[in-house]
Amino acid sequence: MVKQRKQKPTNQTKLIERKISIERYIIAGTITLLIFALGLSMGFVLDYKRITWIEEQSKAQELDYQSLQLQYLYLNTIDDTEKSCHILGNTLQTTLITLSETLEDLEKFEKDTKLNKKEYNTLLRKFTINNLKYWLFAEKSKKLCNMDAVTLLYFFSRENCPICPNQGMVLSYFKTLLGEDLLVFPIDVDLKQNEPIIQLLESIYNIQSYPTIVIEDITYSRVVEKEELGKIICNIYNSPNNHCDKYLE
Amino acid sequence: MNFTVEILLWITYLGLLYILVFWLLSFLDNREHMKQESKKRTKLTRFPLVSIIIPAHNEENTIAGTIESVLKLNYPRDKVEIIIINDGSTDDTKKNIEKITHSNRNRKIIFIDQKNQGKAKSLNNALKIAKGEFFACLDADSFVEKNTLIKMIKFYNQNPHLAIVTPAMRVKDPKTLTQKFQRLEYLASMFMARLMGLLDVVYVAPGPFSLYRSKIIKKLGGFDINNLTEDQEIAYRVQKHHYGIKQCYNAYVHTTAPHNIKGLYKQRNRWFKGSMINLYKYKQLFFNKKYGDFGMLQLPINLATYILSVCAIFFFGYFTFKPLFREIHNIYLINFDLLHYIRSIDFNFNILGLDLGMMFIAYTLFFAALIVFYLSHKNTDEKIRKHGIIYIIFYFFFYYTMLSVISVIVLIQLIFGVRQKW
Repeated sequence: MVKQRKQKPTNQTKLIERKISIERYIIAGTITLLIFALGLSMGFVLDYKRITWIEEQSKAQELDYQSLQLQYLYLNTIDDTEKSCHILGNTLQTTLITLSETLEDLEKFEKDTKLNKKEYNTLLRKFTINNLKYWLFAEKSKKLCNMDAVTLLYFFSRENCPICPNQGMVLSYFKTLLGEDLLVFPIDVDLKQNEPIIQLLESIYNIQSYPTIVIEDITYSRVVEKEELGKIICNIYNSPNNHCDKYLE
Repeated sequence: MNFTVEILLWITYLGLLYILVFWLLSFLDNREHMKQESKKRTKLTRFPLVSIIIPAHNEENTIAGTIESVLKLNYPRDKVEIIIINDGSTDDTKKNIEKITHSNRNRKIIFIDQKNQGKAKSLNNALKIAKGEFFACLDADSFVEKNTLIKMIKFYNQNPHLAIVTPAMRVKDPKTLTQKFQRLEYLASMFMARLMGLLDVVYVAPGPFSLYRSKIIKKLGGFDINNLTEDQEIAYRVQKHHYGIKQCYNAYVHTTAPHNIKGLYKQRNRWFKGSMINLYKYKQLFFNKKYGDFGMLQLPINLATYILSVCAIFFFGYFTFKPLFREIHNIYLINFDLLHYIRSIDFNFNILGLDLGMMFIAYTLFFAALIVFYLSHKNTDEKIRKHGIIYIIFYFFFYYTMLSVISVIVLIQLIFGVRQKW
């Protein structure tokens, strides 16, 4: 099938006939590169699929936000807030979970992408804006519905903060523990060059290092460990849930 | 994933894939030839004298069986000369040799009893007195099949410059997990050696029953007594002087494989160390066109195999221990509250989150490895599921990782100058 190139006879090559399977080297190289090209192409196609998916998610988020605004408007016009506030709280909670999951995926995709950094950055900005819109909305809803929930802003950097994941882990723990009673809004400060609202918030809360968490307008610029964070959060509730017992002793 | 790690991973995949594709192409090109070779029936017109050298050092349990397998060879008795060397054994090896030579006084058996000098020196001592036109070395823990010698001798009819014919090695009675893994590994090695023989790139003449043309080996100065893997060194030297090495795919020799990890580590440590030293010793052959595929392909592959082994271990650590440490650290951060830790794990599966490009290449690589695995079994008419599917899974995912760990240890030992005894 494949021809082999014979070496010119020299004094040393007179014994066995040495061959170089040059054509086979080339064919093997070509097949290897084809498989690689196929793999890379799959990666690129996947990248575009990811962008499309995130954009769809973003549109859905916009719609959810509009729906929440409508509910808020309705609550402002009627008196039956007890029943409706419960629905508003649930919707907000569900939307925030979806938002946080999509944001997690988006950050992962942005990290993996080779070609579409710009597109992902735009999407990250979009989601950060959404996050902040929801944060403002949550603050307003808390007042309107008298919600016994804690809102927490978490400033982190993906690029320049190796200890930020530690804070992230502690926050995830409390989110699992306290559920809808704790609303966490992560803010990626790597986007602040393009997003003036982040700079504004940093200036308001006097943030100079990361990670930083802001709870009820108080700034903590360090990794707040589990015990301390538990005490801070649980002390804010009017009627703390069972999980807070050990932090309030 | 870190950019450097990703680049390294792509290079590793590229290297492994190229090697596998090359050998699969070589198989396709030589498929017909291999089929014909299997059907071919050559009759020997002449039975040359063959000296069979058996060096033994503390092999009291196996030496008798090894000698008996040689005595039963299907080859004219007067054309077989057996040279047994007791290389300073401290157990009953000597007694067992004497017993068997005594009961076979009608056969040509020479017994050398010497102080411990090592295998290579023992072989050279035997070579000095060997009268055979050909000689075979047989490790004292290996057993040769009846028709093996005659099948191997037939190869020499075709080529006056053929220096070595290697056998097809099989693991004798694999019982332990380690031995069953090695059985699979040897099957793959047999298949690869057959292909290498067709390309004149065989780089090792295994200890168990490689058959040598005495004149050529004597001309080349015999075995290197200072080498850890003298069986590989002699093959490199033969290649360097442009003599041929072929593998006789159906000439079976059964060898006792290490039965536990400690034994395997000791054996592979010596092999890897010897191989690296030989690669360095014959560095002038690398990418040297004068040596055809041996210089242009096989030697670079031998070196690349070690580099890829080191990479494989790095990746194993990176993709296993790094996330593991991170998770342990996470659990520590929440004071080992495992219940809530498990609840906080995100079990949402998103197919878009998978790195399909990388996975495609990894699976292609795995698929190519499976084809080689299948062909290796077909080459020796072995059933793939002889010892159950579980061994195959462990073989692919753990055995090579274990070998890679050994090669990394060897590399570190070489860098820090740790000496190795045979």
